Amino acid sequence: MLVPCLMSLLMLAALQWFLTRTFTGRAIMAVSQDQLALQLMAADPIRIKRIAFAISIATASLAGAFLIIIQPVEPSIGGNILAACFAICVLGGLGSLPGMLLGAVLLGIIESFTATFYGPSWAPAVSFGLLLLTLGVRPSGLMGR
Amino acid sequence: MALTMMDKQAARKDRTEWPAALRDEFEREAGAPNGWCRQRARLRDRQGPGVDHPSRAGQRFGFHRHVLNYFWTAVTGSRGRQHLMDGTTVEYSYAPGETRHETYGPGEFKVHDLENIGERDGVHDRRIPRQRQHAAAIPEKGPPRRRLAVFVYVDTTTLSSPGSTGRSSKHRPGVLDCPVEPGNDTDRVRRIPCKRPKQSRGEMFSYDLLLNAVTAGLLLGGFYAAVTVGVSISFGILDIVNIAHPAFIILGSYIAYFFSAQLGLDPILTSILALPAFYLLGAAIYQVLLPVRSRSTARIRCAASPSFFGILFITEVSLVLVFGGRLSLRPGELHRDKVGTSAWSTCRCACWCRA
Repeated sequence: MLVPCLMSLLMLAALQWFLTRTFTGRAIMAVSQDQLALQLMAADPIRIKRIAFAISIATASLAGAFLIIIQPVEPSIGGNILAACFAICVLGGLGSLPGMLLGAVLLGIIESFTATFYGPSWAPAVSFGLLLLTLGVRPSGLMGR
Repeated sequence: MALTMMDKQAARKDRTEWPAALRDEFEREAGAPNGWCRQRARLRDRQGPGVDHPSRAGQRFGFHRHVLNYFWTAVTGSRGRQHLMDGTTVEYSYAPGETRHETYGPGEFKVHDLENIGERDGVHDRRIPRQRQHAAAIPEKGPPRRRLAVFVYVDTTTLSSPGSTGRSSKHRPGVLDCPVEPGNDTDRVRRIPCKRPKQSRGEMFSYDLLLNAVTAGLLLGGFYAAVTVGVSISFGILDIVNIAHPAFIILGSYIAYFFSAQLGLDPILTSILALPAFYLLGAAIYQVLLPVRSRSTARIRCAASPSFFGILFITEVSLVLVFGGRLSLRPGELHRDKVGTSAWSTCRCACWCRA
């Protein structure tokens, strides 16, 4: 459990560095805001988006390795993963990697608490309750733009 | 795989004639089966978990009958002599930490006795719930400090249903119904000084548990971050609702599993090597499946959803087809379940619809 956690933090740090310090990374952050301005900066929005999407798929390779280290895998668990993913995304704030990390850790701790003190079957209920609460109280998420 | 008594090498084994007293006792047991397990189960129901049995050097447990699955762990080294129901006399040496599993089908049983012929005294211990196994190693209160547990026995038949109070009759109906013989050597049972499992919610709140939960939560959070970062980029930055992301994650898992199980590569190393392939896959999907030239994000989103549904189903079904059901890197947890045909045809229908 420790190795996947540390590797994932490493991956996040690398991605954060890439997105904020390199030209392509900054272009990826910009493409969601103003495509025209990006074109004026001599970057092709389609190419930039393609790179961003490919990176997002590439992270799935690492996440998959972590997943099989942690628990047995079967194709039908995709739904649970997807639910947790979107809850974390919205909780942390869309488009912000530090916010996403904060949301992930928060959800992890809350799920672990629920599983320890009330029983594991309550964990999904809590993650979705948190999602609803976030949407109601602070729709932009913890560190959203 | 778990070791059984079948794998254990006897220190001495012969078929010498038993003493008359021993033969008599064996005959008596055959007439009135001494259900070791049932007896202990009843005692545990009455006294709570953690029933043990003192075993001094030279002490002997009379003939008794095993019908439930169980395992034992030797906590200290010792030497024991058994008379088995096939007429053999067997001596075994036990090393600390040695563990053996015994399983019995319906109607199967084993009758034997057990004598501690080692030099160490010990507590003969059984029926301790999983979380209390360590309690057996606690020295008994009072003067004889060297009295440590020689064995820990755990009945796995009853443990296999967590929360059950160990009513073995429920699991093995009609196999054996035995009266408890008063005065039998196995009947002298003492409770080990251990805490009962905590019941009320208020008591459950201990700092150890809290610390455990926080640590587990932080580690889980790190893992969640890795899983979510892809969704965060595609959904948060690009406004593409990639519901097929878990399918790619599972694909990554299967690839990592395949290379580590077949070629012995480290799963994380495998996934790092697979990064370029996934990158190209992502680029190809973006170029081929999404209307990239369109300016309107709404149109991209509308067109993307069914594509991703299709990818999700196709990936899941092909993984099941190629690799089978459940996979695990941890030995002992691996079950290759067969997926029901109904689930199959549903997935297939969905794929065809998409196509």
